[in-house]
Amino acid sequence: MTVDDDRELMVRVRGGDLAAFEALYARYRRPLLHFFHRLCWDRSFAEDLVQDTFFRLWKGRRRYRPTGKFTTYLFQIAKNHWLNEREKKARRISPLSLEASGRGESNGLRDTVRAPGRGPVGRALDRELGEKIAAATEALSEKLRLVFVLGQIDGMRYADIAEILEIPVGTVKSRMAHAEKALRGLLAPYLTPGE
Amino acid sequence: MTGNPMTCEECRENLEAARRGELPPSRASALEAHLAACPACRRERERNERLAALLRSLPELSPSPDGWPRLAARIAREAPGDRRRSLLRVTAPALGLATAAVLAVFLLLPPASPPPPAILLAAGDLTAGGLPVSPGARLTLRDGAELAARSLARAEIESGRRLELTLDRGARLVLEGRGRIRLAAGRILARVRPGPGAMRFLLPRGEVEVTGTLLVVEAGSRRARVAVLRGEAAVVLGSHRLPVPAGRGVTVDLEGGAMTGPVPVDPWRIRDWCSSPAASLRADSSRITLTLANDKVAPLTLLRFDPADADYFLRIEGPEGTLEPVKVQGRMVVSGAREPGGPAWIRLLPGEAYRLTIDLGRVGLPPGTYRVRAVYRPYGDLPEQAWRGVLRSEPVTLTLR
Repeated sequence: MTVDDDRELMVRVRGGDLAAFEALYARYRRPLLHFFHRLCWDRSFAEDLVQDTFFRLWKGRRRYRPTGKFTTYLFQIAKNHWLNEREKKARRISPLSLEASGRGESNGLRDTVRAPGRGPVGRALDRELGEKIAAATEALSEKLRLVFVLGQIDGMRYADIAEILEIPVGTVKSRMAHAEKALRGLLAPYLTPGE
Repeated sequence: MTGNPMTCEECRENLEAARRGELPPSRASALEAHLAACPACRRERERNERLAALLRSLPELSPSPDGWPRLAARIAREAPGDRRRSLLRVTAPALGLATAAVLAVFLLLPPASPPPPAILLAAGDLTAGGLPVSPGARLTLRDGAELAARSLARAEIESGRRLELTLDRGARLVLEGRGRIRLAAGRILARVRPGPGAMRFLLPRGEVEVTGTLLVVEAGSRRARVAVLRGEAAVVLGSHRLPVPAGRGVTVDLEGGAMTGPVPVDPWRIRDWCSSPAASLRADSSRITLTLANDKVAPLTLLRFDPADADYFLRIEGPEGTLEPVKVQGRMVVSGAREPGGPAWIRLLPGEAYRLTIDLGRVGLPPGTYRVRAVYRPYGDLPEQAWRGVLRSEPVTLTLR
């Protein structure tokens, strides 16, 4: 896939071509799921956010202008949607919302960070590690978290992150360094040599 | 040429950019020169690399396979809106009757957005947000609303999401919106009508994806079970997605986080819970009433008592032990306005009951205190669809003077 491929597909989508839209969906559903899941650690919610993002892309297709990279356009929509939904979710009183769930409770929110095919001890370690990583990223401020999570997407460069978040590249770099420093502190027991 | 030398602070800020290959060559050289001379920054780089490796060790999530069908269906639902706008745009310059006709079509089109979430209670003793819901009540429920059943209860959820639920006594669930229901405790029977997109039942750990099927979902303290009675569903736990065909079930170990199955669900006796009648007995000094009630969701076919030969045997445990079966005469009543469904059997819809009243004046029992238990045991040539189990009521005490 190339940048031009994506733009060409999106231009066809702008004209109402559903097959081109499906091709874009097939290409980017996984990185978007990855992005949302690392933000909320709730698989179902992340899947819904992916759906919403593509739906927004479709609804606003006529506004698309093939000037920049398609991925930055798509992740801008995703980021805006995440910020809206996050605010709504925080306002909603839900006895089992993400915010209300305690760390380590078996509420299924963090059960997706587990490698299959390992023994019980391995699975327990994976689960504990998954919990720790989820808790550590959730402890970051929203600004740091968005930079960090976007940085985990394959092929996402600092310039792209800067465009998506509408901040200078230098700010991306310094936020990434801050995020990593914070995460290293929170995950220190898992970063010792030999682990 | 290594450019300007770097400070430790600059070096650490650029470590990640260097790891990602995003530093210009001159800066990359300056960074390497600094690292060669600075053990503290080298240790920092090692820690960064271990962090990156740790994050890479998290398994990749696989997107749900029904993602595109759901999205395509959503787009299709919105399409009338698009069409309306384009019709209006094209016809806006036109005047007179033609425009009026187009506008009339526009107004008659169904609304693009689904109706608000609502619940229609069909039977049972249900609470919403801790408050009792009257039978037949129609409520608008917000996302996050909790439903709980104090007895077996039936609810139909309307939100464009075609769902009918039966909650077992003690079942608690939360309607989370977006087609998601979190089962907090207890057992439910869910009938999901086919339609676009999957509905999700969230378990204390893992979830069930359903696109159109009949299934039982049960959440206990240590395990959850999913039994598919019709259609197909999938249980998702972490990155595992296990399709479950009809007649099979999966157990989720909530402590260990493992799935077992799919296995045949017959030994779980789930069908008994869904479609077997409940028996109860009431007695006072003049009569005994045996009730066979269909308090489940599926219609139930029972062998009927034959009113033309209205003789029944009652087994009575008295002060002198169990008496020989006593022949009694009873009267059969079906609750509601319906007549029995056949000469030898009766079809009870959910919520209906079949009662047999026995007049004790005709039995001729001597005064005393008796314990009475009704047993319903169909026998003979049963119709194919008839229920074949044995029902025993709880015993009641009967005092005759």
